[in-house]
Amino acid sequence: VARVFIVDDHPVLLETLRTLLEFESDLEVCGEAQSAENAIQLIDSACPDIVLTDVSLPGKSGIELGAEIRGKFPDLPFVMFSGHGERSYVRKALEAGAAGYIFKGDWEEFPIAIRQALAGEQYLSQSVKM
Amino acid sequence: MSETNGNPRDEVNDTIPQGKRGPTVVGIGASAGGLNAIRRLLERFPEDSGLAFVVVMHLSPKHKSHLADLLQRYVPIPVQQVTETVALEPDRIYVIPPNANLDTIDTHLRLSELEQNRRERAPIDHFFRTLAKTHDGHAVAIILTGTGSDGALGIREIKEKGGLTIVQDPDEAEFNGMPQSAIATGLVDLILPLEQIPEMIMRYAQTQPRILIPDDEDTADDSVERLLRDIFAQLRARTSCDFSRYKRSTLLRRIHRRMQVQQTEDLEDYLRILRENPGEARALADDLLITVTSFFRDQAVFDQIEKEIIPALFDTTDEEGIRVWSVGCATGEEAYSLAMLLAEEASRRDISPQIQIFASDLHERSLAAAREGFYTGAIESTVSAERLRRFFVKENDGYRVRKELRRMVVFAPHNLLGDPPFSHIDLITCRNLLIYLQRGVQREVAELFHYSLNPGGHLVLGGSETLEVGHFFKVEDKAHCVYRKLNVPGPEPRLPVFPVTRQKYGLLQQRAASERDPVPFSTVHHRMLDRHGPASILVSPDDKVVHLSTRAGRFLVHPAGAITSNVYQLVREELRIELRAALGSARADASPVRTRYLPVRFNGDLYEVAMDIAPASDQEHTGFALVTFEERELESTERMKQDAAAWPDEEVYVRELREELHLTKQRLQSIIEEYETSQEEMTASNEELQSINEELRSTMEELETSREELQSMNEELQTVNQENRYKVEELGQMSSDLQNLLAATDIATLFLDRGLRILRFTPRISDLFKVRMTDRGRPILELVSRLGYDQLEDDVETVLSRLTPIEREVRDSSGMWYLARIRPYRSDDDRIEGVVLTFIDITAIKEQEEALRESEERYRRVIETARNYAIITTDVDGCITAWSPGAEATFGWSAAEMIGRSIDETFVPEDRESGAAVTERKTALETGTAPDVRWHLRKDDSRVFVEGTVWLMRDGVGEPAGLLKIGQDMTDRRNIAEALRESEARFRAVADLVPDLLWRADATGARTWGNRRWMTYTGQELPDAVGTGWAASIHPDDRPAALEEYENAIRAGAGFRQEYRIRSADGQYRWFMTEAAPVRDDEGVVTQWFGSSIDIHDQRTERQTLEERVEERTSQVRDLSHRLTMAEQEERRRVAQILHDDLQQLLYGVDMRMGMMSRSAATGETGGLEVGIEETRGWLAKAINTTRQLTVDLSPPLLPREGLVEAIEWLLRQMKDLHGLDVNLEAEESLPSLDEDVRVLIFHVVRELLFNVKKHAGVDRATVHVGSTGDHLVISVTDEGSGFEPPAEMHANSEPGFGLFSISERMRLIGGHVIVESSPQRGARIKVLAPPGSTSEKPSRRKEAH
Repeated sequence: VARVFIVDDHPVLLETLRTLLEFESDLEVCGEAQSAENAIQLIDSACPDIVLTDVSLPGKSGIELGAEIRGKFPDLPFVMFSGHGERSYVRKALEAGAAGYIFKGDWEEFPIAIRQALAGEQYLSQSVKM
Repeated sequence: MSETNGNPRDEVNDTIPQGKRGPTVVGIGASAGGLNAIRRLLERFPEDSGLAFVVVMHLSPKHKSHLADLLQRYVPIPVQQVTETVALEPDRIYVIPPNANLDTIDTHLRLSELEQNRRERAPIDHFFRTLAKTHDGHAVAIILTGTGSDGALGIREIKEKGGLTIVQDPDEAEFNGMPQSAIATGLVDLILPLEQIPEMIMRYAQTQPRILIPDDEDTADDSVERLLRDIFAQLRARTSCDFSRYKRSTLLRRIHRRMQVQQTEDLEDYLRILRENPGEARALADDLLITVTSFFRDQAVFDQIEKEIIPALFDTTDEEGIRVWSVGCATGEEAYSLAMLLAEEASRRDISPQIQIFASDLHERSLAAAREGFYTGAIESTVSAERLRRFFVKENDGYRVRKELRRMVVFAPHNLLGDPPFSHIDLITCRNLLIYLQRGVQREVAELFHYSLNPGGHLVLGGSETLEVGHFFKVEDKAHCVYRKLNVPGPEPRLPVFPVTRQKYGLLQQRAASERDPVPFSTVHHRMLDRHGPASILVSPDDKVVHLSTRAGRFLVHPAGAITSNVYQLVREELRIELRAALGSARADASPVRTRYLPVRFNGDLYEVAMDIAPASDQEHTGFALVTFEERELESTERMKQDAAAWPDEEVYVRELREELHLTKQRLQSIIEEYETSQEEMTASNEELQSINEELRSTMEELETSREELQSMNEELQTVNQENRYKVEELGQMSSDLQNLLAATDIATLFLDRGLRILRFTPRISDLFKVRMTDRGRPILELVSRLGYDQLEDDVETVLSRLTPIEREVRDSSGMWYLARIRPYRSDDDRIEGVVLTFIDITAIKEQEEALRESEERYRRVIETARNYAIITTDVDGCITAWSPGAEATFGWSAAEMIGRSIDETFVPEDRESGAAVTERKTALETGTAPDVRWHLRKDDSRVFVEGTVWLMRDGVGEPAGLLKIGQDMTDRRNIAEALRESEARFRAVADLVPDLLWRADATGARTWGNRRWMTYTGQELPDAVGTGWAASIHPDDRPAALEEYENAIRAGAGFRQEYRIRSADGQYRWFMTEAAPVRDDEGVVTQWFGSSIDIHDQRTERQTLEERVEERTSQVRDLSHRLTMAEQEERRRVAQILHDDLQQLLYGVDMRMGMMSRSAATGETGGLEVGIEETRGWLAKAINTTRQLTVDLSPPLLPREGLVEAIEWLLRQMKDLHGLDVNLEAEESLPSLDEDVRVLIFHVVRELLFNVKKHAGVDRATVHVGSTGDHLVISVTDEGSGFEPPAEMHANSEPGFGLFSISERMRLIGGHVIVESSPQRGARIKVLAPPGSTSEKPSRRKEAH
């Protein structure tokens, strides 16, 4: 079972994501945080296999969080998601080292993206591929 | 022959061994410029030179000398001022004070007080003499810079004693008088620049020639003697002087000195120098011939000569006159002294015999000096003033012998030992000469003098000289060494002792050389003949044996007594008589004669000798004769005679003998007579020869004398010539001066002689007379003259007779006027030789005179006719002296009435009483002028206004002579002027009332007037402002442009307008607009300008303020617009964020939940659906609420429909609900109605203010008050929070503003404003005032909403 660490500032989305991922037998939510700062503190002890983070966060953005994760945990993959489907967001996320980018509207793709990222492949949401 | 004088006592010093001598003394004499020279000289000597220096300098005896101190500063050698007797030590400098004489210098320096009346004014001479006395060969005398001739005599003695004399190079010396005088003596060894003197002296002092000077005369070392001979030879060869008979000691001492000078220590070396250097021989000879003498040297001796000898000479004088011989005359002083005495004696007696003084010396240079007869001023000490006057002429620094004295003396070079002596001498003086000669020579000299002197003649020798040949002379006065010739026959006049001169030496050489030639046969023959032929002798014409053959001695016998060569004395007695007869006969007949055999006894044996006498046959040897002796043994004849004696006829033989004897006696007698005759003849001819010799000598002397005279005459002629040349030059100069003077004066000048003939004239004369250069000598009256001067001749005559100048003005034909001036012509010697006429062109003066006269006339006429002017003259007291027609016209009185009356009567009574009339006069007298502008009285008692001036008139010497009053009746004009003045005054009054600055300028633009306002505003006085002075009030920035414009306008003559700032009296500048326009006369010519300057400062400033305000507003609007844009953007961002952060997330959440539920429903899992739906509905409610809030935020929902108060109530609820701010609302009843936009704005303002309270005040309570003041709505928001310092100005972005600026700006835009009342910790109250709306709602509360 792969351990997933979720970061989103909005409690509704955080709860929804946890619920969503609980349906997947091969995935397990090992921890969650509502800000990048909080996430950095918790990740070390949560020992996740992958991090799922919103791009828009209060304070440090998800892009910054990603860069920090790459710095501290080089082997820890992370996938970004956002309500923004613009290419500029996608490019920034990928440049920060994200293993995948999911448009929030394509919520079904979360488990797929996680798995592919865990498998070492890049995953881009259908909406942003074009 | 040297004629060296010397003080015999000094000879003693020769015996002082060298080692015992003191240090070499260097005597230094200097005068003007001396200090520096002495210093420079002495500082170059080493400290251990071993020399002693004595310095004498010309200084005033009255002052203490600081010379020693001055010198010591520079000179390392100790310097000592000698004040008392001090020991003489080497390496010291002794300075002799000016007020003492140095008496002796031996082992000590001894001073003596300066005699009160010191005869010698020559301290250096005195010093050198003293030095010479004690330090003969070891003294050095140096003469440095100075004027005069001091020292020149002194060095002579130094030199004579063998000292060294050095003179500073006169070219270098500051004053060359002393050096030149010293050099002129010819006794100076060295002439050197100062720098070289010390080294020279050091070398001189260190040179110690190895010569032993013999103690006494005649003896010298053999080797020395040998070298001396060479030296004599050199001297003879180079100077023709023979010194071989000089005393060796003297000679060697001189040579010693020269060796020192030449710095050689070995006599042989010196000889080499002498050989190689011709000058050295001359120098040595000069040294040896040095002579020191002076006038009347040894006064006692001269007294003796004067009192005894000379009278005796005059007593015994014969037709030959008096002949005196001064031997060794040197520079002639002794000869001239004798001449003076003789001349004096001659003048005492009636007879004046011819006096001839022969003065001889060997030293040519001394003789030249003697002939020159010039002596330095120092002779004053030895020659009495009277003699100086009588026998000398004062020249420059010395005295020259007068001609009468000079003519008495003949100077001749003469060698006492070589040349034939003078003869028939009455007095010989030979002083201090013999001491230099060897004793043997002295005897010869004595014989010579004996020969020279007339019987009873006198001989005067030097003080220490004695004559040994007592039988020639007797001592007449032992003390003064006067001798007298004894009339004993002297020895045969000896042949002069010819020394071997160069020429003779050559002959000897030649002879010696010829002897070395191979012997010719003739000589062999002669020798053979001599040996084997008969004995013979050669007899000279004067009967002397000049040659003998080998065996001739047999026939000769020397008699006792003096050795003689006379053949008759030499030949054997037996042969004498026969030889004399035969020789006479042979000579007479010029044929050989043979004598008979004569018996002669040789060594007891009898022989018979016959003589053959053969006179020389050739012309050349006339008088010579050869005497040949032939001898035979007497044996046979003797025997025969003995036989004969034995014979009886003895009688016959006796008779025969007697006869023969008789014959012989007779012959003898004739021979004796003949002999005596010839003896007499010879004596006569000898005397004749002597006199001829004497004549020749005298002639020679005369020639010499006349040559000298010619020379001096030549010199005189040259001098005269020179003078003439100067005179000619002077004359030329004067002539050209005169020419130039005449040309410069440009005055026609005419010189006439007494006969009125033209002598000379200047070119200008040709203007007046037809005269040419060729007319000189013609009478002036013959010439055509353009002058109308008929009385010329009379005038000239008058001048010549009265000798007073005449002046006359004459006119020529062309109308020119001349001042003719005739003066007598006085020649150099004050004779009247004619007249000088000068004609000075006075046409101009004449014309001026004429013009003056005319002008006076005109003036008079003007006065007469100038009726408009009253011209009155008075005396200084006001009494009228002249009264012009104009005055009559003005005042009514006639001249006749007024002259003599007081001018005061023309004054009005008031002025008379106030003293104005007197004051006027007084002022004029004191200042020269006084105005007279006042009303005057007329004859008819009416009044007339007179404008005039009173002038002071002065007489020729400047004293006040009277007063002149010129006045004009100005009564009418005065009235007009007053009208004008009034008009002007009115204008000015008006002009001064105008607030503008008014001014006037003349046609050139120069200000002439400004009104009072101008003055008061600018603070300028009128004089400051006129001309261009006004420009000073213009602002410096505006001035150049303003002036340029002004000038352009004036030039163009067109009116103009300009604006510039003018400074007010208090220094402020205000803007003025200046307008000006020209005032033109009838022809349209601009006569003046009139201008005004109006204060436009406020208008200008207002305009500017307005512009600035518009600018400011525009900028504010721009700023606000920007802010609004930014605020809108901010609002959009805020809304977008709310949409994204809240609403969107909720919607994502709902979407995902719904998606999951739908998936669950599809799979039939409905367990969690209910919970999920409930949750989802909650999220949706939240989303709805968010949108609603957002909507309200964007536009309060109540506003459009409801009143402001209602909207605020809603707002307050919102604030409470959403932000927890509890706000109390106080609203007044009636409020002004507001426009819609204003209302919206007010709502937002209140909302923002409340947000400010919530965010910054730190409290959750506030009060909103809505009310009104006037028609303005006033809303205030009050809290009790932290408060703040209200900003002085509302600034955008200023932090305490909390957006207040923005609020304030927005309120201003709608015509309202914001008032902030707050302070830190005291809460805040913000008041917002809004203007009433244009739609003018009734101030009633809206009730319809809510």
